[in-house]
Amino acid sequence: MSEKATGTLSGYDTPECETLAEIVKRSLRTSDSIGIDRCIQCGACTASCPAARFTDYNPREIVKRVMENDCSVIGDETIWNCFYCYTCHLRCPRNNSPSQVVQVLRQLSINEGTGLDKIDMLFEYGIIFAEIGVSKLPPLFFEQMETDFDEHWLEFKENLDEVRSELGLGPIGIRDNGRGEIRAILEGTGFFERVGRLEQTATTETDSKQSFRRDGK
Amino acid sequence: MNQSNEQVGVFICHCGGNISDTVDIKSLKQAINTSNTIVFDHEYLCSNLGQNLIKKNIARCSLKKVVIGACTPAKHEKLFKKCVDDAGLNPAMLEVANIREQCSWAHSDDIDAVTQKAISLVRGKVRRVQNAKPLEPIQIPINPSALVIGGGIAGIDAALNLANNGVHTYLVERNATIGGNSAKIGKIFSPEKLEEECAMCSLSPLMNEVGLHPNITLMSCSEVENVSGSAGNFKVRVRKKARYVNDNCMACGRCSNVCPVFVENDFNCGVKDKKAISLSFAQAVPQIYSIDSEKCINLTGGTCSRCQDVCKVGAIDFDQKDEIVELNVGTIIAATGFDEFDASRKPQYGYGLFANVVTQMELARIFGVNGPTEGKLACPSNLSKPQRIVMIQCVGSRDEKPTGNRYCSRYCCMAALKHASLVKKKYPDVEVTICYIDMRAFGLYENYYRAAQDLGVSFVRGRPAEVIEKPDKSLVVKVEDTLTQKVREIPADLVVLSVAMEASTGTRQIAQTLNVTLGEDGFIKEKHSKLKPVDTSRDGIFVCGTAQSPKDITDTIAQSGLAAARTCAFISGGSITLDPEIARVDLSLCDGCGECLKCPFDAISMNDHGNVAINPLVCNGCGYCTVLCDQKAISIAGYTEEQIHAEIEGVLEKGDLLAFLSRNIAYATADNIGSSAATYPANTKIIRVPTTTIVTQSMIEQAFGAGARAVLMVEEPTDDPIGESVYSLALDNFQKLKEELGDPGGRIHFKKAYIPNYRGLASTLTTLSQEEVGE
Repeated sequence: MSEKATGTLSGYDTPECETLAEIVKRSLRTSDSIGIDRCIQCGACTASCPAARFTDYNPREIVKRVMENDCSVIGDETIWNCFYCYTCHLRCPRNNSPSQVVQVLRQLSINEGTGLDKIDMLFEYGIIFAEIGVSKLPPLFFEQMETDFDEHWLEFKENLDEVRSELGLGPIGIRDNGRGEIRAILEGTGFFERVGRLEQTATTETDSKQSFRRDGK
Repeated sequence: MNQSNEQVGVFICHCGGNISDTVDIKSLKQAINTSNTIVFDHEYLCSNLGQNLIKKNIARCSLKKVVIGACTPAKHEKLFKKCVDDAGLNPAMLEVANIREQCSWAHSDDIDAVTQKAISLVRGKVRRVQNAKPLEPIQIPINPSALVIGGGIAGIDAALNLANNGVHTYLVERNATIGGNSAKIGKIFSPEKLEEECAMCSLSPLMNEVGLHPNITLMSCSEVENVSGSAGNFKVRVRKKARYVNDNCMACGRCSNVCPVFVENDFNCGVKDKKAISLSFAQAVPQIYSIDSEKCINLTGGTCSRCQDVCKVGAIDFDQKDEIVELNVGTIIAATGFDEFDASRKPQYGYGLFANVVTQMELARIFGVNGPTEGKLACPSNLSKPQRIVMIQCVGSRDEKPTGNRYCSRYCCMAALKHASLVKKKYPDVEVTICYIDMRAFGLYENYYRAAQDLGVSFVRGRPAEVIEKPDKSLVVKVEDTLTQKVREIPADLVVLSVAMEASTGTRQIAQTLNVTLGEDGFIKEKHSKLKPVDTSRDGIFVCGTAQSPKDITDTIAQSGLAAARTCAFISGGSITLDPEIARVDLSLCDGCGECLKCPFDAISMNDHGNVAINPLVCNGCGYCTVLCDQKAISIAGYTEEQIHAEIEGVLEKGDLLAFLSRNIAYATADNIGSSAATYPANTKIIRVPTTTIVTQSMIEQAFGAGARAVLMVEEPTDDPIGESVYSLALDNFQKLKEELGDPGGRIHFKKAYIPNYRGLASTLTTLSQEEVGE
């Protein structure tokens, strides 16, 4: 499958290009010298990848499909398995970076609406950040954290300010005027419109579970 | 002006319209035609027809001197010099007026102004050539001996080829023995046989031949420190390092037996199985022991003389000192070889961390009967026989990370196949897996690859991610088999890394000493990858083997033979012809004041008779000495004061800008203005000089006397080999001239040339040629 990527693949940080490889090269998320065209399919990325060890994610194959301009890779569920450890980036002998390639693919997927269900649980992070000016774990994940780190985790979290003051440290949050500044930056950069738009799309997309949207096709 | 009345033939080239479209050839011919000139023109003077016209008319009109009005002399001057030479004239009897790059192409003025400039340029050359004297070419005999640097297989083969062709050859080797890396590898692969051959069986006789050859002077423990002179006549300074054992040594080995100090053995990749006094290996040439001065008890201030006590021939000499030896040779071959890539730069493979991760070279030593295990296949951790061996290809090769090399090292696929075959033949039960990206068994080696497959070697296509060591010191290699798309964890008892070949530190050092260019990968760059594969950027210096690029022994020998052949061809030329336009001294005028000895290139000296002598090999004719000489006893042949005065008289008209341009970079920059279609006014007249140091007060006075608007001097930049020494002297000369002349109205100028910045020069010329003349 090799469809022209123009039009369908335009949008946020995905410059309009003829091919997926071009989009990857011109994206802000990838290094200027990214060696995607120079990939020799040696598999050093896949052999190094912890996600590939436990799931069907195969960074070498993902890169191959991008090089072949196979647009179905955008809808491939496995691209969401990478967790950005960057070992592939470190070891690639051609200075390619599957971890950066995957970031661009995810953005394309979000632009098409298909990736939204993968990130809607992350919206909460942005909203909390906008409110208090620092990144904080949303309550949604507390249960999982307790499972992973034992019940002490919640205890520690609830008494964090006390623990910090015993250690001679101040409160972790940001003072009110600081919050205002952060909010102003987020407003200035269009953060709230973007989150609002994504949330809205997420709702409609979930209704009409389209796997792919192809303008004019 | 002292002018002769000999006939000058003037030949004007149309250059197919490049000149004739902007210069009125008819007016030019009329203006030049006088009682002692005959003028001709042709569509293309550089063509055979054009040159025949020149030759024919030299004969028919008995021309004694020739002026050509055509493109820049940088382009065809040599061709035209040969042309007049063929016609029986001395090449110095020819002058080229640059009426294309510095005239028809460089001005946007009307045709009359451009034609007028062409007339003055040609007239200047006619005046100049009327003052020319014949110059005999300088022939210097080539020293018929050669120097080969590096005693590996490349240097050995080159030296033997030269010596067998009757060339006396010095072979300089840094280590105590010749043999290099080839001596270590035990077995070698060969393209036509599927058997592995014994490396030492081929190498040892060659090494002995080097040691005994009457035409070879072998200098081991020696390093080249300095090289001066030029092609045909190099002077080389060699440091012969103290080995603390003299030539009496019979290599009996008693000393080594009694020596109490064990040291790391380079030959066995650093295993501590060697004594502080030792022979590198049994077949070493020369067969002379040497002492490791950093480890020897006596040489590090302790008390021990056991070796001296047992030596029956008095060969041990703790007082031996480094010696400096001067060699004179005509040519040099660099055969300084490679270093193995340091595999610890790829920590994911565990080299240096895990005992059972080794390189192919170390495996070769393990296989060597003279190696650390005496040829028995064994894991370094416990000396047990490995059951499973995994080889990893392209370690440090085909790798764009800063710790790697971009190139393919070319030998490693075959080295891995060779060692895999050796293991399988000797121990068929041992599993051998080669992890590769692409197997490169080029040419006839494909047979060998197939034979290795028949022996049951496994191949996995994938670059391994990492090697992990288990508590029992066995290893696991993590790799994706990209053909089955499965990530595998291959257990191994021994992991062998096929590491890259890198340019050796010796190669990088010698490139600097010899002043030859390195490629971006650190190897010595050949002049042309196909047509001149063993010539370097410097005449008379050649390169072969892995100093030039990664390669196997077969390719190395092919190249060392070629380097020897090129060296022989160079030497058999007998002599080299040097540019005659260098400094000449008139001893009848010289008063021996010695001022000229300030030559920045050390080309001038006083000879045994107390006379000034100029070394034609070193002098580049910069002309600095001419301003130092009060007696006017030194001049630059072809650029005498009379000639330059005559040219000024010929070219200059009232209101002109007169520019003196040094003959290399500065003059080429002015040519660039024309060939890049930039412009400056036609009242700019350029005179080519060796460097602006030869410009004198009387030249500038002559210019202003004839109504020049301004005078400009443009000098070579300091990154040019001549400019490096001359630029500051030229600037001093300019400042001195300005003071002497009182610089009427700020009309004397100085500028540094820079080829890419031809626009800068064009704008300077434009400004100065339009400047108001202050009275």
